[in-house]
Amino acid sequence: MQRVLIGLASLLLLFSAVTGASWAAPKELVLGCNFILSGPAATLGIATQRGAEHAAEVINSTGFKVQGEQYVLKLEYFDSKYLPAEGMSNLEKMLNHGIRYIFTLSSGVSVPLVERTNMAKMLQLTDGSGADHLTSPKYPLSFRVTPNNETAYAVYPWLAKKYPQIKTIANINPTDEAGFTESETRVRCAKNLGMKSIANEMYKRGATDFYPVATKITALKPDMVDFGCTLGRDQALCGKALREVGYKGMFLVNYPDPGAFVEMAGRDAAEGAILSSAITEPQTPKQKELYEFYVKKFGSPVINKFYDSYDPIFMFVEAVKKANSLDPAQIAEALRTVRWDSVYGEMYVGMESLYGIKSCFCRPLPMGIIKNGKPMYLDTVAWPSSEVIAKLVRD
Amino acid sequence: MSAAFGQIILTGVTMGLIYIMVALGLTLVFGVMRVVNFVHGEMVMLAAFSMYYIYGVWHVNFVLALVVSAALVSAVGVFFQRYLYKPLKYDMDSVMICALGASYAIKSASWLAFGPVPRHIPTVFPGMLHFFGAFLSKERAAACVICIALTAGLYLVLHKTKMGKAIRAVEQDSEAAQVLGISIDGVNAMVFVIGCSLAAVAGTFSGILFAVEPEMGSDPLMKCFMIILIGGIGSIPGAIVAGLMLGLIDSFSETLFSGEMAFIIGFALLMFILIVRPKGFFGYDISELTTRRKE
Amino acid sequence: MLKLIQKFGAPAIVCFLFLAPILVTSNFYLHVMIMMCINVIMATSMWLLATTGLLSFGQAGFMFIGAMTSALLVKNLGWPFWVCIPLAGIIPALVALAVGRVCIHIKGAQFFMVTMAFGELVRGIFAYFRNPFGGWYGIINIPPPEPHRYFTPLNKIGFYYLGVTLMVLTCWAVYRVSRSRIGMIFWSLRESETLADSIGVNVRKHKLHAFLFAAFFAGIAGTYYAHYQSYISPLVFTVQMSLSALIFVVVGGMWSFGGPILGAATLTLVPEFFRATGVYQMLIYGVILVFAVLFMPRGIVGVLEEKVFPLLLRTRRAAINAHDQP
Repeated sequence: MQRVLIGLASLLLLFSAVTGASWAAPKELVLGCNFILSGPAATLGIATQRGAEHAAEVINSTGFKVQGEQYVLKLEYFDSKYLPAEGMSNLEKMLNHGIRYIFTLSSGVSVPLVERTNMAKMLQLTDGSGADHLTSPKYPLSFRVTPNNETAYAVYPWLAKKYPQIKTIANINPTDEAGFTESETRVRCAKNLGMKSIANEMYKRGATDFYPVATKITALKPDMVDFGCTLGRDQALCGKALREVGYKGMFLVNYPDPGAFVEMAGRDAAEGAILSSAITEPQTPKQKELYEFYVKKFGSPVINKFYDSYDPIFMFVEAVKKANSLDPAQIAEALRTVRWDSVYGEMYVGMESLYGIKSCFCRPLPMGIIKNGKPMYLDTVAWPSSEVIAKLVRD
Repeated sequence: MSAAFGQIILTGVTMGLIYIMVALGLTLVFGVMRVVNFVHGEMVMLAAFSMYYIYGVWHVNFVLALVVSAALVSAVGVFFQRYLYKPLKYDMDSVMICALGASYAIKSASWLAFGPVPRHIPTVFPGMLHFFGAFLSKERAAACVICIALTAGLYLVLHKTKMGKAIRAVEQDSEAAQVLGISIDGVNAMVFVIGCSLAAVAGTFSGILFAVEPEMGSDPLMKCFMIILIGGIGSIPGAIVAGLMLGLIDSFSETLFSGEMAFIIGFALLMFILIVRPKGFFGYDISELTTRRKE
Repeated sequence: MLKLIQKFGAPAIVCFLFLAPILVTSNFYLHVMIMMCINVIMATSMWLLATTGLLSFGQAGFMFIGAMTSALLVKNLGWPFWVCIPLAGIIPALVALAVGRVCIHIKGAQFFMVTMAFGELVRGIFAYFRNPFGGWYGIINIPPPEPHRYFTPLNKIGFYYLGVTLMVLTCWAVYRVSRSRIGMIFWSLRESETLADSIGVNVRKHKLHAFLFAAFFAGIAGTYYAHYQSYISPLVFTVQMSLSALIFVVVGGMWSFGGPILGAATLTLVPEFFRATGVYQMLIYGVILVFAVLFMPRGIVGVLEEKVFPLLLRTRRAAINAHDQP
């Protein structure tokens, strides 16, 4: 027992060493990044990190001024491992460093944080769903930086108009918070547009064999299969399985990873798949520049998540410049008035009609389609007006 | 409806055989050395990446690529056996933690080295087969055939060759085997080589049927442990029966109910089987396992 | 000097822990200490079970049950936290009684698997029923203990003292049991079950008691977690968490009481050094585990006993000799 106590004493020395560690910070504006950098969802996190990093590089080539002083943007990365407790620990560490702005990925990790960040008066920028658990008048400092399940409000009306032959839809989503939110949104949109969701399948995230789900769906013969928020590898495997068990209808792929989808599902399976909110062939000079940068640095194909995390950083810095202050509350107010020419088109903060407060970044959605194994540009969908959204969300 | 039923069965059998392929190497190592080899999943993953590059990107002949990948992964496996497991004297708890740490490290290193894009090994057998209204892709059929061949091959090696007999001797009683002049180290190394080669084949087919990414090894690992324990430690027929059973149950419950219910049913069943028959279908009494843990 | 430490060591540590917030005001370090308390409770209760030779892989399941019990009672029914916290230990213990009745005769790796299956089963059931268990959404906005004033996310002092108290209570309980006659019986079960059986020890009963004990404290740890983080979901109480408890015990040293405490404390603190490295944190953690097990086969306590204390003894002896020399 006494040995144990000596051990404990040495441990306390260790503890004070940790306490004593100093974290000096020069004239930098630090944005804490709570990404998923390990575990099964690391694809998302690493792609997001690449986008944010590049944005910071571009911004820091000129820097920016706040109250007459020159600043650079510094991103500090933390790995949340897709665990809420780790996300919480990361937040505590950021608070300890005096960081006042957090960029966090995935609703599963971010929704538990929002209560605290707002209490600690931190600006929280989230890339995740979470609906009104994340963005609501209760949390004026919380923003959603790319539309997640909200894309359905833009895509479904476009689908109804462009492909009137679609009458029945099957929805597939993973069984987690994001999946449930997506499925609810999409089923409701379908109903309010005169289409019918005949299957609402949830699969367990991490499953590799999609034959069971595919069999079930194919038996019902829907006109279109909507992949909801299944991501990357799961989309491709599911699409492949669907084609293998004989499904002949259309695919709608959201949060797409076009290159991987074609490679893994196979050319034939991927043919004709509609890619929602995907930059396929760069249309504008901005898109071209970013596309070429990614391919040069990381090789093709480009993971679309890279584009998603790029512009929000610029929006944030614009808001800082506009507010001319480092105070998160003032930056949040300024953010609500920023209009930014993003890689997708004009980006601004909206969705007041849905969430009661301007809190979600809105922008046009480029739609793509896969033809002959190549993702190609199809159309651009403008962000819907509040009237359209109101019609889609009614019960 | 009977077509759907047929599809469910076919899916179940193929799922089961794919699990078995990964489990074969694991059950061998577990049976002979009594260690929980958590890095087996990473062997599967590394072999898949190796096949992706050698066969997929550099277009080397498939069989040659497979042999090279198996050799690479076996080398890693033997390295682990010699420098990590052996110094720990195969103590189950320590080896488990060590293997776990190694698997975290390898996974993280793979994310860094290979990047976030999920990849795919090009298929060797494109095309579909039709059986009584059920669909099966040729590559799945090939995977099943290979798995059956491997299982039969492993069984023959273990029961008909001298080396196989040595392995089984060490598995049953390592001290007695030593008395008979069998080199334990040699046998352990050989077991790892065989186990990792099996992992390489499993990785190749997983990469063809599914995706190649750093996490691909961990998902099937839990299922494999379940199979090994239900089937009986060290028993290959047990692993087959358990694997097929698990595959069919998964297929039925996922298709007829939902993924989540399948999750619950799978684990409830595992508990039930282990409670009713702790040594598994064909295993022998492993109470010696607990007494083996020495100071 | 060693005798001094033996006598006053434990009270000194406890005093230090209670006085620490005066020196350490940073919220982050309080947070780390709180997480450490949770880990120590998990590790020590698991250790007591391990002394019987049983390694349970389902502690996260019991934590989840405890967390869910108190979260639902406090949030939905408005019961006071202090009434719920003992319940959060008792309910998992009752579940453990039911499960243990049928499982406790299983040995070794099989028991490992059965408990793992149980843990995942708990997760699956809570995930399947969105009402009332929250499904995959989990349960958010769990209220903190009363009085709310002292338990806010920004003012962690209340949580800290609660955690330290729970940790000290758990350690004291485990220590007393392990030193008592029952504790000796537990050890005998691990050394040789057949022998213990032959001298009339009721093997099943004692194993079951150890299992209940571990489940009780897992439930307490779970509820503390729930009210501190104010969010629980199936994403949280995974096999990974059960595995962490096991890692703490093995790396700390399975053979003595201090082992799990040291293991939990070290392995909670060390990753914090690397938290800001982002991608590399997992890599470093894995490598640390490998080397820890390779070079400390008997755990941290083993290293202390074999290397550090003899060194101290030698210097003391040298000092005495120097003193005695003319």
